[in-house]
Amino acid sequence: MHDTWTPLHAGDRTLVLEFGESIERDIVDQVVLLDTRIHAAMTAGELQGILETIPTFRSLALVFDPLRTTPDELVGQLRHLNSGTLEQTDSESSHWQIPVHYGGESGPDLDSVAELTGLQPERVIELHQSMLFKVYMLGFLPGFAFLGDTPSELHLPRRTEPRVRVPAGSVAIANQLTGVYPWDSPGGWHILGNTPVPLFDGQLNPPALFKTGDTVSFRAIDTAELQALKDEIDKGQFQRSSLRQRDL
Amino acid sequence: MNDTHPASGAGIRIDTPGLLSTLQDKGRFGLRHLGVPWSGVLTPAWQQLANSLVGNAVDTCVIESFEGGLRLSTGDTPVRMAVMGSPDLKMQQQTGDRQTPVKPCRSYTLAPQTTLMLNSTGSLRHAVIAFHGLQTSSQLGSASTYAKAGLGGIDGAALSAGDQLQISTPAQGPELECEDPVLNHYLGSRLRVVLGPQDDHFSANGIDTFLNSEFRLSTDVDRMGARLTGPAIEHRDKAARDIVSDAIIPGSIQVPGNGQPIVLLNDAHTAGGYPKIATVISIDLPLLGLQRPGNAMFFEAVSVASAIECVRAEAAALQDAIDRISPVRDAVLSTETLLAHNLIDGVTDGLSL
Repeated sequence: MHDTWTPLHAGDRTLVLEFGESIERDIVDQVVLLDTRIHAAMTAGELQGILETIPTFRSLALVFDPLRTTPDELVGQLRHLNSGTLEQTDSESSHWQIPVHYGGESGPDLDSVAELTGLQPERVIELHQSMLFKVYMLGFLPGFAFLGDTPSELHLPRRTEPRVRVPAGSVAIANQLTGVYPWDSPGGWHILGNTPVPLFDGQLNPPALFKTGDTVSFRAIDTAELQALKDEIDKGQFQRSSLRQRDL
Repeated sequence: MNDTHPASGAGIRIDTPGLLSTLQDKGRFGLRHLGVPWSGVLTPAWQQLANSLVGNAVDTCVIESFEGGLRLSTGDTPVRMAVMGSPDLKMQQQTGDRQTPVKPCRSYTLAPQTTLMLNSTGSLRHAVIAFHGLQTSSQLGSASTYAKAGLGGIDGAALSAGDQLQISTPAQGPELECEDPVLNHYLGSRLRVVLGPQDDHFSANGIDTFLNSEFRLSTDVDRMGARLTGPAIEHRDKAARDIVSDAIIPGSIQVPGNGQPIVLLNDAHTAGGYPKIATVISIDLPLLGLQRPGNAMFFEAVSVASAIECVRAEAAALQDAIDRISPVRDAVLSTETLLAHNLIDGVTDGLSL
């Protein structure tokens, strides 16, 4: 892992390990791998003083207790972190299949995306469904997942007119990313569809459905299946684990 | 969690919440990787002092209240409380009775059916109030209120009229007093910063402007962040003023295209796409949530080593102040406090039988 990251200061209690300045799956993989190694070392009693880690597109931020350690000490320890053993990082990640109701009221921008890309709406759905996405990071809102990469045929800049309210459950695209909104929020992404499944539940731990490094694919559902799922969720019968796929 | 019974029994009823009153403990840690901010009290030193004054563990939940208007009442049992800040706070036992001032840095025993009124938070924008034995329910490791995701507090929200807070046991022993080792610091105008992580996105002029100009607190300050106004801080490349998102922590100073700095605070989102010129050191963050709009602030660059030295020194000073907490010595014993003491004794005897 030597020299793949640069330490950057972020105050008296955070150290940023920067891997790059662009959005690339390869960088995310490196971030997730180092994050996994660090947590394994913490479990083994090493890297004393780290309180939590924050993986992002470009970096891994380490929050530490300034009463117990310093960035210099941590960088020294990280340079000697055993890089040998850990190769089974896949076991830490889950694969999720998310049901999406594309178009109509659920996806008010499907038609405009089709128009802007010169594709039929059916083809837009087909392309979006065909992709095995990876969770590049969470943030912006609790549980909000940035997924990549959206098929290149669908790359569009953000809408010129952002919406005041993007409804919770919206599955939306901008540039190379797909986002899934756990909450109502303002937003400028193109909304292709909506998923009824809860993406953030404060009663569960972890509260967020996804974590960085997980893989995600989308499955189109019709209005009848959407309603059936909503009923199941309303009755409290829905299980998060039903979305987890054992085999990719 | 949503109790609707009237103000009776061991507890406190919120009569009016004021501008914004929330339950906050140290914060909800370990979930930033899922986009969940820490939340937590903006002035942790005051949380620790106030809790120590009422005999709680230092991390116990407190009420953080902005500006005036918070009004609460005790039920059938006395309640030990303490406030930190510069508030105009008064207690009143019966409507029409004399209002007695409640000073900071000291615990008081509120008699049953007493109303506590935060008329204003004085020269600072918020105050912190601790109650002995305050019971709160923890969600994802903290009782801190984060309303955006419905976490903590009372049903995931800020305090509102009619909310009932439970108190476990009445306090025993004498009322206590302390010194406030951080108040003068919080009244200052200097925000110490560590440059980075994206200081290289700013021109030399931009860094100079940032470190050698006066910035004023705007009216746009809340638990998410504080916007300051001043001369525009120049980016190095005007065409590339956004960055690929990376982590934000409380103290991160984002500078968007308009060149005006935003210091992110406890409820801010966990990642963002504006370059961050510097990070305000943790012990200087309380100034932003306490000082008034229009106040002039200055950013001063320090090294990480020096920042950590200052943080450790303030932690030691705080611990020293906590260790030196002692019974109130020169208290003028008013009728109310005498009455409260008698009631406490009565309750204590009753419980021990």
